[in-house]
Amino acid sequence: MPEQIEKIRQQALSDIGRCRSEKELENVRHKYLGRQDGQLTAILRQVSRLPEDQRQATGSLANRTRAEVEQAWQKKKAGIVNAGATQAGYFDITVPGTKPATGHLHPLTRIRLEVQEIFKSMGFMVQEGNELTDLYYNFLSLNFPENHPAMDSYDTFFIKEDPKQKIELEKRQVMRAHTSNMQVRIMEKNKPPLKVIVPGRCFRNEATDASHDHTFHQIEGFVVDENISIANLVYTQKVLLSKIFGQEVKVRLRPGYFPFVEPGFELDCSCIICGGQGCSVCKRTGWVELIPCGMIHPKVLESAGYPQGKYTGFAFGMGWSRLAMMKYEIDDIRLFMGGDLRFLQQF
Amino acid sequence: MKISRNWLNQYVSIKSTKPTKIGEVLTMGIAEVEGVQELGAGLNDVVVGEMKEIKKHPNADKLFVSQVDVGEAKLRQVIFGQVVALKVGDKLPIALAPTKLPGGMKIKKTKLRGVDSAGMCCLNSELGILDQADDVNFFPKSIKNGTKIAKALGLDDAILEIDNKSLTHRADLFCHVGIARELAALLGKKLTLPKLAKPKAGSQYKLNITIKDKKLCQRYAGIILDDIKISPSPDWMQAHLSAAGMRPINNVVDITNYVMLEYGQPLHAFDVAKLKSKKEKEKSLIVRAAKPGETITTLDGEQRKLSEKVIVIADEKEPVAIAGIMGGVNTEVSEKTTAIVIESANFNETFIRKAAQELGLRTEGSIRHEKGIGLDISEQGLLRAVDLLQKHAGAKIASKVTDTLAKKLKPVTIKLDLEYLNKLVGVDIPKAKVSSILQSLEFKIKGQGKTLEVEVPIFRTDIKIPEDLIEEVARVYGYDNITPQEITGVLKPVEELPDMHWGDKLAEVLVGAGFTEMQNYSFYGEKLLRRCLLTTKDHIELANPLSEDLQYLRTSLLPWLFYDVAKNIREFNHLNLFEIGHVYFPDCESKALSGVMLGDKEKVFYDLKGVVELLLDKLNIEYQTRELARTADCEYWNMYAVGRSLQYMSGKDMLGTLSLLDQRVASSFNIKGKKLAFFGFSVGQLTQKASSLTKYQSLPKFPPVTLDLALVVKQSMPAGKIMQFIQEWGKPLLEKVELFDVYSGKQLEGGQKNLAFHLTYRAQDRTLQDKEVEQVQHKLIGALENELGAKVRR
Repeated sequence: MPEQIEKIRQQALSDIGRCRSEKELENVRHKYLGRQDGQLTAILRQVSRLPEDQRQATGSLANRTRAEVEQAWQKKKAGIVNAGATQAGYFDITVPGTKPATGHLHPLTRIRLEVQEIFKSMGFMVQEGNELTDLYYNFLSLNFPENHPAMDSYDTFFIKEDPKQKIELEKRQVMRAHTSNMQVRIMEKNKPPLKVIVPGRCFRNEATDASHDHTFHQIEGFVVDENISIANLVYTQKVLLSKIFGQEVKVRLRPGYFPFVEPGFELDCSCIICGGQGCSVCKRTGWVELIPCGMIHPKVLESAGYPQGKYTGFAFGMGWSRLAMMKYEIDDIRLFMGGDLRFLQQF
Repeated sequence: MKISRNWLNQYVSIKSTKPTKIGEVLTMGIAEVEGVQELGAGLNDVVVGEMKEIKKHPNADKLFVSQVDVGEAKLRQVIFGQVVALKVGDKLPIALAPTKLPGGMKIKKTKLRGVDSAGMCCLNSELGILDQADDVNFFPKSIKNGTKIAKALGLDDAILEIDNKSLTHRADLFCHVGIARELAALLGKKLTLPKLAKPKAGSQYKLNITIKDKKLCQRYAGIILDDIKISPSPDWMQAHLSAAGMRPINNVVDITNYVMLEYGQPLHAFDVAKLKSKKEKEKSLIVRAAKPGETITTLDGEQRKLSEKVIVIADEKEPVAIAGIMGGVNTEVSEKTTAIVIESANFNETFIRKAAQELGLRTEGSIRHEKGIGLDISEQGLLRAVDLLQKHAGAKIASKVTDTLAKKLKPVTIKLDLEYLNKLVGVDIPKAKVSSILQSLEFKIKGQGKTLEVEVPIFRTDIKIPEDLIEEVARVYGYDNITPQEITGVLKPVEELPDMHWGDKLAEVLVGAGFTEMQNYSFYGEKLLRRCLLTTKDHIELANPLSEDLQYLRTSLLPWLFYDVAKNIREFNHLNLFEIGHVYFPDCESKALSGVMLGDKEKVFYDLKGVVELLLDKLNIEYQTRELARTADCEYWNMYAVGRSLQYMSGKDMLGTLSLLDQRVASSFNIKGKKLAFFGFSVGQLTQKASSLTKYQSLPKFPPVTLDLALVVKQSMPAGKIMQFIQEWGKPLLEKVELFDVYSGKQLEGGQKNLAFHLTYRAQDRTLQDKEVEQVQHKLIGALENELGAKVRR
């Protein structure tokens, strides 16, 4: 019997090889593998009747042969079917892909959306506000005393006034110098508990260079409730910054002075480049000065019209442009608003 | 501000503490230390050497070969050049090879033009010391050869560079005593200050002081000293002043500067002989506002014209000093001076700041005055100066102390609720700790139970409310000792601003459609407006713009977008840009959305129109369009190409516009041989109309029948009108009509165009038969021919 199987095998493979159409191929299948009278099917059927000492070897040979013929048949079929569907000739698979044209979000928007999502997940609401404001909201309501040197350091853009009109100091129009201008405005309209961030454009009348632009972006944040403490501030910043940078960071507070907070702090974050070991970015200190912050000054809560002594809170300012620069390793802040697509289309 | 470690060490024992550690303690506890410079660092191998022999170099004209005694058994041979002339007997700094200087320069034993050299004669600039000039510091004969120059120059000091900005509100810290007080508190060490005794009154002179306006000056104390002998100040004082960045001049000037850097009280010395008065032994000083047109020549040699904003000190005839800022030449202390008035005053900080701004003159004195110095410091400064002048300038007291302060100073008391303190800090700090911290900063504590009564030292002008005290306690306690704590509170849903939500949605759709988001400046100038055929009419103007190109607040996002196109057109063939940003009008500020698309032909209008329609669909806004109505007085229409602009309406409200750019504007932005389309929308309007509600429509149960229709019509026949006509006529079986081709060319008669449509018919209750549909279409064709004059191409 093994000789017979071998003969069928050779015949079947040669028949398959000669097929030129699906129809011919179907006939061949019928001839060898057909359920009723296929030659190999018939052989397999006979195996059970062989004497015991031959049964296993012959059965195994018949099965292997059947599988081999089946495989050759499938391969031939695939060849015949596809030959009709594809072009003749050389198909060059190294030609570059055709990308669909999609646009690009501005890097600052990307950062805002990322940061905003983290804040929202922690229960912060996101607010915006006008960029043109008055001295009251920009400074006076934030406990900047009139004529105080602190105000000068903000290099504010003033709006030209009609010299005939006498405008009260607090009504004088300015481009906001910080997004803190929204603190009192938002507090006036909302009662604590409050958790808010305000991303926005800010403006300062200062000479521009790689790290300063007259227009830049900040994210103001504040929390007001009945028992908000410095310990809460530290915890919140640590968690937020760890999320934003995608790694566990350490934070520390140092004294800092801003009229609208008391106590006021500079918050340093462990350097994300060297992990606090000391590198050129952190000037070998292991720390990067990142977030000016503090406990909201009672005068500010008073400006908001909150009952005296009832609430405490903390406020912080994030350099939104700076976050984007750190994250994308951008070395010139002026690129953000420079309108150069070679820059913008990298994002 | 430069603070000398050795100077501090007079008041608090810190010599054994590493300078970098001192810097860290100050940074973490009070103010940022930007740098710590250890003066002697890197100068270990630089010693005093004496020139024993000098010869010309045999092989070089400009070099000399010297034998130098550097305290070693043998003389060293050192070659030097011509920068400074040296002679035998000179003692100067010699770097002993091999070594490395602070600036990084390596000194090796080497041969110069064939002659050995085993060291280098060092210039001050090479050592990074003193005034850093290309000068040699010669030592007196008394200094032994081989003495390390760090020792010989008293360079065992360390300088702390403190960031002034972090001390804006702390006038008391602009001096060594103030910083020493902080260090004592932060390190738990004892503070020892100089003993100040009231001087006995002298009687040779009488000093009158008049303050014309109490607002200008809260306190003015003065005294006349006689028998002054002008000479250099003692070495230790010169060393301290130099370390703190001040050049020593003579004993009187140095003492006034020293006291300022010690107590933070600016002082001034007038030459009594130069103060004009009727009686020789009775001198008068008047504090008053300058009279308009008055002038004074200040110590820097400048003649200055004064205004009423400036406070002056005047004698009986004329101004002799600009109060708190700079003295006048007319009463300057000189070599010949024998009697002086010492002024120790407290001027109004706002006046000083404004005057300094107006004069463009900020001095060490004005920097301190404008912070608001404590009123007690005037007296301390005066007493300290009198004491030092007696010791180091031979001064004799020649008058009484004249002090305008009428009443005794009363310190403020603040109630500090300890529970509130712990609540605000978030840690329980024991009462005893609170008290000891405050006491270490010279606060006095009274009161029992949970509220302390805290008496604020007069010099702490910054402490006004309990929170100020809490900061003092918390920072000395150590912010690092506060355990972070999560916020607990009520759960509230986070509200979102609708225009932010929809603004982000618009950006998302536009980016998906291939647009790049721009962020342009809020300011522009007349030049950019002119390129857009616009003027500055109705624009808000900045009073203090950075430049004339950034002078006006934008009322449209378009000018900068056109500018962006011009900027990028050389590198990019196709530009799809948009911006969402604020625009500003005299009566309102609002958020706008604008976009531009650059294409080869006018067809770009339709491409951008498609984008606009996509946007409105995504926001589920129902809208109508109509040709832009040009209202009479709006110059914006100058940017819109005639007959190629649309406005989008939602009922009566205008949502925005779409247009091709006027050719004149396009040329001004170098857009040549291409067409630019743009749109502009109000984000506020879009937000009002937008909704995220889209209702599901059940899927049709029966198949559609699609037929094509090609019409030849007059060029002037709007496609929109035909489509609307077809839609009306096809009811109720016509489901959809799509225009898929517009053709006007050779195969058509002039003035005609071919429009090709796909028409989709479907019934809701049955499968449509071809015959039924053909009948409908046949009738439709008849109507199109009769009513619109269309011809059907079959």
